[in-house]
Amino acid sequence: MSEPILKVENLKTQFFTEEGTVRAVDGISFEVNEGELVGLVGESGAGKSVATSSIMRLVEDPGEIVGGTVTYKGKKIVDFEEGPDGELRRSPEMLSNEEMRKQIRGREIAIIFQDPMEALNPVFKVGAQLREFIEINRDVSSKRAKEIAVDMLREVGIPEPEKRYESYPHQFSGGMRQRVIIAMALACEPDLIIADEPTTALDVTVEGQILDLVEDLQQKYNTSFVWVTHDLGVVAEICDRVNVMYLGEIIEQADVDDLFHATRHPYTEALLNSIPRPDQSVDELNPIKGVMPEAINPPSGCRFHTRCPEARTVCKEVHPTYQDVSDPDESSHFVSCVKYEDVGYDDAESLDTEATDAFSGGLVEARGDGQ
Amino acid sequence: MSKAMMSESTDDIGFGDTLLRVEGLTKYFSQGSGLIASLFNDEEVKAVDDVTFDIAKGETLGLVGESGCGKSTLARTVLRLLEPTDGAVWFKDDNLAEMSGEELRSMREDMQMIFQDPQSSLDPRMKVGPIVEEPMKAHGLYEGEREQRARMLLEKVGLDPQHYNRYPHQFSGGQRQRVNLARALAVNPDFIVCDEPTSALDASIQAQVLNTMRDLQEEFGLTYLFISHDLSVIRHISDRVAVMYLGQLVELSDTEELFENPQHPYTRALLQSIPVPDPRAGGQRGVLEGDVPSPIDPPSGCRFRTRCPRLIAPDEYDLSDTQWDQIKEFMRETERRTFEADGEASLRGEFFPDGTPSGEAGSIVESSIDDVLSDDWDAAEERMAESFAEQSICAKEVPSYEVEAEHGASRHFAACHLHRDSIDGSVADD
Amino acid sequence: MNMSNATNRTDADESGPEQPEARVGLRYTLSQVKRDPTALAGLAVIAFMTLVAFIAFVDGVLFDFLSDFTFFANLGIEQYLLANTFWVNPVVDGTGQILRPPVYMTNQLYPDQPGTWAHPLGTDHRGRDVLIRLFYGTRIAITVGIVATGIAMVLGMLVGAVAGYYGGWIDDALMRGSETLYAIPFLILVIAFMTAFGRNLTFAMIGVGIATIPTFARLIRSRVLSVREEDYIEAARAAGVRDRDIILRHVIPNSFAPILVQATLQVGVNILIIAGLSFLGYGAQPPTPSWGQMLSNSRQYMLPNPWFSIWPGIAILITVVGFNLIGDGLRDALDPRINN
Repeated sequence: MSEPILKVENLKTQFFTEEGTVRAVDGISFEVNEGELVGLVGESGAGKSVATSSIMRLVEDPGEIVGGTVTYKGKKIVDFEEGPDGELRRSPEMLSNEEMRKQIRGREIAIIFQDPMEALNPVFKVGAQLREFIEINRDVSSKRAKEIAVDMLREVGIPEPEKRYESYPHQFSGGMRQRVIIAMALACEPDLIIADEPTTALDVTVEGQILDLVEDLQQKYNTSFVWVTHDLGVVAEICDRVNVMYLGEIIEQADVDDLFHATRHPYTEALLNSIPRPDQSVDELNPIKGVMPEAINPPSGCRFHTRCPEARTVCKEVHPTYQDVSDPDESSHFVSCVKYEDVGYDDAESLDTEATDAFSGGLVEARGDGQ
Repeated sequence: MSKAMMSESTDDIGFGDTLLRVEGLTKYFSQGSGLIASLFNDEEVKAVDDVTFDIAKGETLGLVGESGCGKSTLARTVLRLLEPTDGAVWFKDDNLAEMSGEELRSMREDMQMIFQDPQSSLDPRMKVGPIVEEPMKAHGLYEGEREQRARMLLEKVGLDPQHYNRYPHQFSGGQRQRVNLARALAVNPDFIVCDEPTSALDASIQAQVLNTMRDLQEEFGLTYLFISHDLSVIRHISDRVAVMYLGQLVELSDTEELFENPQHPYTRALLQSIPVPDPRAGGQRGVLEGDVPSPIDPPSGCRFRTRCPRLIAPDEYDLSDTQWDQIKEFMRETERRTFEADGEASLRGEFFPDGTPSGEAGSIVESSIDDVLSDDWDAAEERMAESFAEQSICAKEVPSYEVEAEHGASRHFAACHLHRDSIDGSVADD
Repeated sequence: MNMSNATNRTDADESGPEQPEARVGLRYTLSQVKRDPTALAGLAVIAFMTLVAFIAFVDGVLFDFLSDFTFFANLGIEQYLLANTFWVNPVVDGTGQILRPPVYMTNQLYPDQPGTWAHPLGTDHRGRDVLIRLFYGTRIAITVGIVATGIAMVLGMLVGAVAGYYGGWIDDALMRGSETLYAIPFLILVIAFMTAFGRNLTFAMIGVGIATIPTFARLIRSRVLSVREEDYIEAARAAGVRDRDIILRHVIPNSFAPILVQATLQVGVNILIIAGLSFLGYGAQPPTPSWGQMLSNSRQYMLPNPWFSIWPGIAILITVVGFNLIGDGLRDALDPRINN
């Protein structure tokens, strides 16, 4: 297999707030190969968006990337080295902010946001915004940029692109606006597009149109994607490989089919069991108990143990290793769960949590009271 | 928990009997606001147009549709939070549409609502206890035992009764939605309208809240009108489902029947569009093209006809199915300007590889092709709309048919002319 | 089926061990203000001014308080404090000495009458002690500032809340009606009002209050327009809560923050306005000591005796700045965009 175009290793991003340090992304690793559509899935607060903005180096204060390496086509987007006193500091290979802006963002890696209205300035015409973006990033003349812009609008399925070039963002429907954003992302022919919940705000029929469009364009341009979503349906439809995030960590990574049909991590399994299905009637949903704890003070050991139906005492003590547990003839399947380690899970006693029904009567104790 | 506090509803409507009947409900919004604007602007947004359905006591009617289809407006008009333009809402023996003022306010004791956004539906300056007690106060109920009842309800919806003195922002989204549930239950209503109650919640939390809602329905004998854009949730929670498009109901039937035997092309398109959380499921997506038309001037007849893949050919032309499909595609793409007119050969090759049809239809197509090639798109669009789209029965008559249900016992309503005579077959055979 | 148990079991959920602190209410607002040094400074100034006004209000107390200190007693202050109705009796010095300079200055006109600790800030053209008159002026300034603002706030809030909540023709009628007040220049409006009803402090306060109603009405209306769209208002309506209760319990409390900020700033403005009216002779009538009137009196002595006008000027400045600082601090503390 060829070298992955994006390689994220042990990336850590923290937010330094008044209440303490929030470990929003805590040592995630994954790769994106050429032409691959990699999913990053998780509930809100799992750290998906922080992970993508870390890759783009767009983390805002009080957040800071504190460790790990992100390599894009051999260039170090994020890289740290150990200083003389043992402290971590930016390595000389790490791209400067200037280089990030000029070489990477827009040209090499483009980003698509959930709310297209946020990415478009409401007081400028869509065409002008698109043209300016192309002009800056591709060093072409204004006239040529306009031609490219119109072509791109046509490419993403916007009717009458010359006419719509002169429209303002509010004159487009939600789906059309998202198409404009995709046009903008594609305009500089990037090799990687990071899509942060791009269809969440759209209706299903429009979402279907956009997913179709993305798949077509991906085949045509062989662009790689990192697709952030909370919707397992979308994941199943378009992703090649999937990373499941929970509380700042990737807890499972597998090919899409394996993830759904050879699920290894209890969280992924519970998540799949908790969603109602459009294609079949389910009598009773099995929700995951509890809510995701705050990343400011994550549970010890395995972070999911407080909600895990299979939690045992060892889960509270041992932080699971993120490792490949696939059989030799399978594609790689990474999981972070002590079930697959030799740390005494089988002998450990079942852990009393809400999720294991230990408190069926003790509602109040289980919950405690903050006062 | 005292028995009296959870007293069952004492009205004489039995389970399964009609609790609410909506007849021809219509809501138009005038666009301008203020005195002067309203004099000059007579354009109206037809948000809800002639909607009829009923809900039996104890059942959950799911109402599904895309954003802007009017489902929230319908819900608010049913509850008389908005004044209907026309139609009737029979709740038990009273027509809510004709009530006003104090009479209407006191009716709200029996019908409550849960909102989509758990954040903004709770007053940030009130503690949850008083929030839950407010409806009781408003209706002068449970005097002296309100706090006790509020705590009982908090426990019922799965919260800690000791949270009585907390502010809404001290809860998570799912918990806030539970506070909303407790408030809705405060006056022991019969009927609750739930407007996308779980769409702001994460998948795992959504399941918790849905389960609680089901349990509460059983315990308190509640009737739900459950609005959602999420077909999976609708399938899970509803007994019957109504599908809405551009202000009108297009299909209404048993849940199982609707999902397994959909009879309206729009319902079918919706069902095909949902991403299934199973990579092996396959299936189509993005089967619908174009955007929803403006509700200011909706299409005549069937409102879905401008996007319908099964638009019926006008009777006066003798066209084969393939020919009609080609004409339809050419007509729509012309209207949407989705192609470039760069040469006659390529245009004909793209739309009419086997040549244009003969006869009158053919000549209309021919002159439209000429118009397109001479860059007069408007003329082509207009000619074809007039000759084809407007001549279809879909444009001339408002559809309303009842089809035979394959699943479940209730009636299956489908607003599609494909059912105008059963011989022509169902939509299912395409 | 034991449902209660079932629901509980399903959902022993969702609360983390720690709950965030309550972020609404007076206590929280105060705790926010306490963190803000400028607001604290403003608060200190106004607290001091209010104290002074209060002491002056109970003028006997002032006397007792000051005469307890032999330091002051030795300076002879008790002489005029004894006559605690001194502002009714303009000549309190016993000597009838007029225009005595502050203690730190020599007297150019009458070199044999230098500043004395008996009148730390000198005396006015009628021989009244400037410091005492400043003290008493504080009382008037704070009272009129707050009362005039209160009138405007309460009436403006009602007009604005009702207009914003109901909208439509009620909105048009109320807002257009109150805006007619804008058609007349502010001071002329107030002066006309006082000419019609009476040239005294009471009508000055009422006049200024009424003239500033539109400011508050517009502010709260714009706020209500956005609060009205909040789901909790609709939720209350759907629950069958009466309109009156919705306005009083939900709409006004949730629209109140900007009003409070505006009111605090407006107190300062109103103090200025009423000082201006007094300066023009439309506010407090002699011999009631008000800062504006003191300024007015000082006009003809401005060049030889500049302190005469400087001291009331400084008093006005400090008070207005004090209220503005508090207003800014409150704005920061109450602004949800900053909190979140």
